[in-house]
Amino acid sequence: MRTVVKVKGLTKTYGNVNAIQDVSFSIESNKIYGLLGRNGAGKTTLMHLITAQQFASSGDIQVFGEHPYENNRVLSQCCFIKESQKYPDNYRINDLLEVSSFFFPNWDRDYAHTLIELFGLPLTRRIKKLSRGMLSSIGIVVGLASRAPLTMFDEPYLGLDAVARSLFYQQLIEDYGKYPRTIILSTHLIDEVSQMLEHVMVIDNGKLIIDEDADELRGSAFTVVGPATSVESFIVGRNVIDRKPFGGLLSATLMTRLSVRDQQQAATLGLEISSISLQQLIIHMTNGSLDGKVAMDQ
Amino acid sequence: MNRTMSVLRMHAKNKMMWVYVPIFILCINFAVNLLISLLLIDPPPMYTGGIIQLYVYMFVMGIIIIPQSFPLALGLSVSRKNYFLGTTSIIILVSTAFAFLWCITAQIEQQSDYWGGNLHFFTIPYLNDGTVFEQFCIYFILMMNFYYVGLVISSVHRRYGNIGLLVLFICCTLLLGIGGFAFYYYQWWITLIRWLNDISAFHISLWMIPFGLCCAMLSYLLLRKSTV
Repeated sequence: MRTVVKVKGLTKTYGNVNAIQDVSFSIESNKIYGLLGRNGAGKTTLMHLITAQQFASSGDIQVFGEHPYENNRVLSQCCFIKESQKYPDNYRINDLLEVSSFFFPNWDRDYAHTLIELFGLPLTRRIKKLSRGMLSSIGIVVGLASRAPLTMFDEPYLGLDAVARSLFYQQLIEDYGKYPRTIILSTHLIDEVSQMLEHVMVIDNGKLIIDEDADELRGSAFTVVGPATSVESFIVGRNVIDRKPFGGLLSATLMTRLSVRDQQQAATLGLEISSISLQQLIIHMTNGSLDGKVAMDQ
Repeated sequence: MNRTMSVLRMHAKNKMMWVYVPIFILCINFAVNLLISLLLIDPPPMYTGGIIQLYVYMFVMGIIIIPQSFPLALGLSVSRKNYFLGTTSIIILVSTAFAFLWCITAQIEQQSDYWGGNLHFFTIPYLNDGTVFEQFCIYFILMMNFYYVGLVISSVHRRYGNIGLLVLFICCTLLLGIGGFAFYYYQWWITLIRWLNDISAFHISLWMIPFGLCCAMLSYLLLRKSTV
């Protein structure tokens, strides 16, 4: 497994606003990464920086071992599909597909046309006239058919209905299985994609607060439910990130790994233990009630 | 495939803007002028110089190329250098084709005794003096200059936004105002007109080459630092 992206001390400021603050991480080949975070957290900026479409204020970026700026060896291996992509006014969908084939060495024309049919896109319609959902679909088609070794999707599902979204997830998994590559999926619909993700990165206010293997992360918290007094005695001295009382019952979410001893103790106290979804976990970690980084360190 | 050539092909997908619209404008314009010249009985020579409108179109085209295609090019992982070289290639290609076309139409105009109605549409005295090769150069260099002036304007906008554009226009206005005043005050215009009288349109077009090159270089430097 080799490193595809290596970022060190990356900072991007717009005037007084810190869009990205001292971010460091590395991304390995042939994995699906989830870049999660709230709107305006800095996800899009980060991907713009990785593809040299914007310039960092400070820090270092290496993509395939080189700086991406004006570097065709790097750029020809990257495909960044963004939600705000602009197209020339006169372009039709088939024009875009043809032009994409000029720039992506691994472009698969047949696959692109299969996807066009699956998403029900009108080949000869002007892109300007497409609905929001269709625009998202066309981005997905280009992103998947490019088969770029580093493919990034920035909120690719905007305006897409549930059927089209699940079609996207299904195609992504299938094609990734056949042609493994590094995929970065930026999204805030965490629950929908959580099963696909192998690695999770969470950005909040320009800072990388979580950079963890997805399975590790899923196991790092759990919820106990039961009579308030029993739950209270169970959670004493533990890192509680959320508590919800209802009637005489209490539900508490704990940021800790579930041990066999915990399970026995919970059984003795008559408490119910359930796992917590990635989405809930990340909401807990980014809503300001807790400093995520500290929680992870603990 | 070479990525500069790919950018050229990307632009060429937009034949409507590069080829069809200018030819359509020219045809309509020519038809109206021709009709007028044929309807008039014993008309005086009409120096409409209709093709000058095409230069304006090319200037506007220079302005709109970047907002139309730069975001897509970067979105498809094209480097700024390849984008600029590809854009330059299509500008050279289109300018060459149109310069060639104008040379032919100018010949037809002269051979047909000005379309039988004394209409000077493609040929203007002074501008069309000299050999066919010289005329070709004049057309070509003029078109390139119009494209690149447009390109510089939109490169400034891409790099520095609305405020940059405003500053550019204020600077240009001040420069032209002060320059104009200086020409008047120091009576440089007399020298200028004498100089222009002495040299041919071909010579003036050659003098425009450095100006065009400066515009091209400036546009490239601005685009290199532009983001989407």
